[in-house]
Amino acid sequence: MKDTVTLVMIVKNESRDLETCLASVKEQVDEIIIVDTGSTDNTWEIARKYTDKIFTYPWDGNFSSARNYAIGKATGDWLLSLDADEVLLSKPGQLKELISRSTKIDAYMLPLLYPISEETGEYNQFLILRLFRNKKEYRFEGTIHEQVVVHHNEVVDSTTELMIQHNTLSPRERNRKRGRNLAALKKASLLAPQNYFLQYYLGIEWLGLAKPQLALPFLQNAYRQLTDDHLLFRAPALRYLLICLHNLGQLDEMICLSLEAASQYPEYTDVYYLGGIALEEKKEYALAIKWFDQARQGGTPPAMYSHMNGTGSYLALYHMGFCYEKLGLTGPAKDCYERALQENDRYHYPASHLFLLLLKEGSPRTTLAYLQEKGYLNNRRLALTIANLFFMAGYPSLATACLAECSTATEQNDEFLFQLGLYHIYSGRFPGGLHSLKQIPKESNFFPIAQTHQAIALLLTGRFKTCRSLGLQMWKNKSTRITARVILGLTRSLQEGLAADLAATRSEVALINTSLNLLDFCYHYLPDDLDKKSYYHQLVNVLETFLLRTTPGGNQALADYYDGKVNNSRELFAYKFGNGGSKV
Amino acid sequence: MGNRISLCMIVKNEESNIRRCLASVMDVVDEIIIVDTGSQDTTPRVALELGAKVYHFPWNDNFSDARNLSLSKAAGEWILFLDADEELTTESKKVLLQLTSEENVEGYFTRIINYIGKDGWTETCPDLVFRLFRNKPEYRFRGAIHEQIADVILEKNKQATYRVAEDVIILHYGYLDSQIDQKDKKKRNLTIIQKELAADSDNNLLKYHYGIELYRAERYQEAAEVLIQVANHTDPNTIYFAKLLRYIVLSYHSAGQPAKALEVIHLGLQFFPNYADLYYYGGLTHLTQKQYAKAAEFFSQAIALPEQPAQYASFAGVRGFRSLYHLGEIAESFLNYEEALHYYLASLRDNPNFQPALERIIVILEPRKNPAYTRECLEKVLDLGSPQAKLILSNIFFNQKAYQLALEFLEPTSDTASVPEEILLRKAFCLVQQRRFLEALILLGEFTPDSPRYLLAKFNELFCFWVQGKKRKVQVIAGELRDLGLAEDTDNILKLLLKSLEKRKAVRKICLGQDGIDLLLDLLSRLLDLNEPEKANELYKKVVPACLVERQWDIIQLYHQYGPVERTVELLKEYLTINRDGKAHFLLAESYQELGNFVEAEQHYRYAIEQDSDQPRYFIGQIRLYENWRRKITEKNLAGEQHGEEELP
Repeated sequence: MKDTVTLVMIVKNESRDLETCLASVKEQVDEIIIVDTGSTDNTWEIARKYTDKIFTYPWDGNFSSARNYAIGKATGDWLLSLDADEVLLSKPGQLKELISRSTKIDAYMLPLLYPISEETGEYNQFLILRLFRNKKEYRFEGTIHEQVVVHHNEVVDSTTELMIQHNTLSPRERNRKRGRNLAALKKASLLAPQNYFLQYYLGIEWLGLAKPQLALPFLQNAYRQLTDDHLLFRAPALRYLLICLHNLGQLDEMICLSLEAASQYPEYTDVYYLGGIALEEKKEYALAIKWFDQARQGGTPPAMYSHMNGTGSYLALYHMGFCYEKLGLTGPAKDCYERALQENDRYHYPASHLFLLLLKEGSPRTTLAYLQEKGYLNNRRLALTIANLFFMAGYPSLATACLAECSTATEQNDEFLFQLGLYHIYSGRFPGGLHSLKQIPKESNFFPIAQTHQAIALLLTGRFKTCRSLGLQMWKNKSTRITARVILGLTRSLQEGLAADLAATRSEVALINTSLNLLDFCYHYLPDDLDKKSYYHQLVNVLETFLLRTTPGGNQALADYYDGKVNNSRELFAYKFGNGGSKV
Repeated sequence: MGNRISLCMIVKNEESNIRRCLASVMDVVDEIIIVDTGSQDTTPRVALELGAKVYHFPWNDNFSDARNLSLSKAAGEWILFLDADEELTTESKKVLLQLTSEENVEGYFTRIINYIGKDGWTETCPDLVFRLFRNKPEYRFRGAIHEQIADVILEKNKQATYRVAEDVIILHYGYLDSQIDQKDKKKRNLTIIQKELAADSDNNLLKYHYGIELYRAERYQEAAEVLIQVANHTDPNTIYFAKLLRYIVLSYHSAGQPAKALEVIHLGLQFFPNYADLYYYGGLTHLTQKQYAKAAEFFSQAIALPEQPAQYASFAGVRGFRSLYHLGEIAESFLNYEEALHYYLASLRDNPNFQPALERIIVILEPRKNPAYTRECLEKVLDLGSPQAKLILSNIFFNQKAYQLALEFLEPTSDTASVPEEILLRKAFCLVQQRRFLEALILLGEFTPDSPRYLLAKFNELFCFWVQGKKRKVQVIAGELRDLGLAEDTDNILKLLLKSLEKRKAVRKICLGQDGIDLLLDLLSRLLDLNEPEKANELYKKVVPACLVERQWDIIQLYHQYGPVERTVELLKEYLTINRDGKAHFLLAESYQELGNFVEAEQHYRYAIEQDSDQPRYFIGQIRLYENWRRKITEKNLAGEQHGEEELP
């Protein structure tokens, strides 16, 4: 028997994502069916590059009927269902190999990786039925969160060889989707009040919309009523229920539920992790550590359990470190933070805790030496994170040193160039700094802010003419116009040795904020070379005078800014030295 | 059973001690047995005069042999063993008779109070020793150096019970610096014990003593290693276990291994949760690591503990003046002077002779700037009546350059004939600093050429005239001084002083050696104190800068002390071009802040913290700067400043 595969998709205005999706899967399937439910962009144009089987289906508010329509057009033996904002993670031939393995299996569940944060690399992971034989009885059901229903469990298998990766949604996009989903779910639930799947979805949507009090009854119902036959739903219902209790601050209930669930599902890592979180928030740090350790030992649970990636590794380690820190055990705390960083170098939170611990125990220099010795600075991502921590803590030249080991690499991205330039400038290495910043291309997100720092560098070094032309260039761009105004004003003031003349007769919030921002940047300046001649003093004075004169907004903002400085330095002091000898 | 007591001793060259010792026990013991191991002084004769039976024993590097000879001669039912540099307190005597009539005791641990340190500044350190036991032929000393008998008795007599006789107190003077040539004793002890250990390597007790001798010989790392081994083979119920742990802590602490020291402290506290010494040394260890909060916690805990059992051999003051003193220090490093004063006063109350606390109190009061206030404060807390107290205070004031007070506390002794020359000279010094030149010169005139301080007196005379600009007088005295024959550096200083009286501008700069620089710094300090900054500057400029490089920091501190602050800033900037250290950045930041230059101050606080982030004061300075900055902005707002064009700096 020849196993052919058809990709079935329904789409609407997917011009942004469709190309990536189709590219990820075209080599693995024999046929692509695309059903459009009313696109107004160039979705069709993209689709046509991959298939000629494109159909229109008028949107009737029912996802299942649209999908089933698409299935009706498919000729393959197997069907793979994807959304445009997903990609298939697989090696060539893997899909075919999988379906040819057994004649008894009719459907495979694949892990869906759902990112929480692009920046930190956190994601949720759960199984979903997306690959099944093209048989009449296997059709989508449900107006929303439609699923393929296969009634005999023995013909369903799961695999982790192939995975589906979902794109990151912007918060706005996600909320828009949630609103749409919620309306449809409410309608459906009215018709089928005993449908606990619907209740489960309702709970998730409310939770996602930050309404845990509304989500709670639905999730409780779903968890209590669904059985282990529907572990694919019961497990996430449990997980979301715990999260919901957490968001409501019902920590005792959360702990009780975790205890109960841990005895029923001892393999379920996420339960230990969330139980640990509850204990941590109740300041039961020693107990929390035990739970996190259990989670860490469990690692990734069997695929049937909806799982948040990291709860069995770096997240658990991070929280363990935090608890150890709270218990005053800095050695184990550091150890946990470091292991967390090794597990996921994108998850940067442990780095800042580690950094602060090192700084507390030693000096900025010993901190740098330690991180260097441990090899963290060879990893570009970590080096950037750590360099930024040094910079924010007020040590630009050490920040520069953090990047030294990575800056020899030939290919440098914008972020790296930006940070490198920034730290060079604020440690008084102006030519190098300007050189890095100038390499950032116009299209880059870092371009405008890089311009600002270039301007500051030019002001500090007294290159007023160049600064003026940079300011004029920035003026032309609407998004940097306010900054340009401040910079041009500063240039004129410094050049003529006059007090601030920013032509602001009334308090302008944007102007004040920009000036304050620039002042804050300036306060990062700490040249290595003590004899470095610069206009630092004058620049700070001009900005300060300007803000002072811009009543009432400016001087208040400035006062608040110094209040912030006082508070920050007090906090740092308390962190580093505790209460000192204060016993009297 | 009778209860006669035989005092047994071994002695060698103890003529200065033996009388005191024997007098203290004369009326309580029934016989005195003395074994002399080779005295070359009058010891045996004195002993005989005092009624002792004296035997001679040629020294064979083995203390036990000598001691056992004395035991073999004893006829009493009980043995009391003392060393010649010890004595029994009067109160102990009555108890002694009671103890020896007890039926079921084979021996007693008694208290011993060790006096340590220098004469005039002694401290006590109590401990327990086994010195009173039944006289039986099978009970004999063992071990070449740390001769033991308590364990021998237990071996011979399994049923033997011991008690601690806390009311029997022996005073021991042998650890005083004046009593022994420490080094030789340490070396001798170490060699003997090493020999012994070679023959008996499994002897744990011997090893314990070996470890302690290593510690005393300042071989801390080895001491710690040996003592750890001992601890691993010692039953925690052993009477010296607590002491053993403390020695391990001390060894690690002194060997620069704070982490190990703390580990042992935490372990030790599980056995002896109330052991004040462990908390005290824990505090010290944290302090050396600049973990101030932890250190404060440990010292506070030490203070709160109850009276220590005798077998802890607790070091005097760990529950009181010592811990309080360190708490004061910690408060000071947090610039919290009120709190520091509170602790130092408490420390002084606990031990009125603890001078370090007194010194800190005086430093905080700033006696140079506030003489009247300082005096008033001290009168409230101290009894300033006794001549000794006055002298001590005068000393401290002098060291703090508070010459007016130093003088006040000296002045009442007006009869110069009876006053030691040193005091006289100091008085003259203070008078000069008060510009009471005539009085100073009268005092200085009393020194005759045969006095060892004649040169110094002359030099002060010269300085008196020099300050007043009396060129002729200066030249005359300079001539006299030269006739006495001067060291090269002193002569150079003289040249410096003479040249500065001349009008010529371009004079070749003078290069000074170590002593010359010391003298110069002294002169600068005195001139600044006299409010003569120009004169100080004149001298400073005439010295080749290169030879002052190493003392730059001292010079900066002088200017910091006396001002002007602008000069401090100048010097600090110069200093920082060569040395980038936190303390200089910090002082510069403070100076800038004083001058109202917040922008520069802010940068230098950051530099300081970057260089050395263990100093709470750097952070506190920074916080205060931001607070002042904030205040300045509020003030400017309130003043509703004129909107004229301001000139930029």
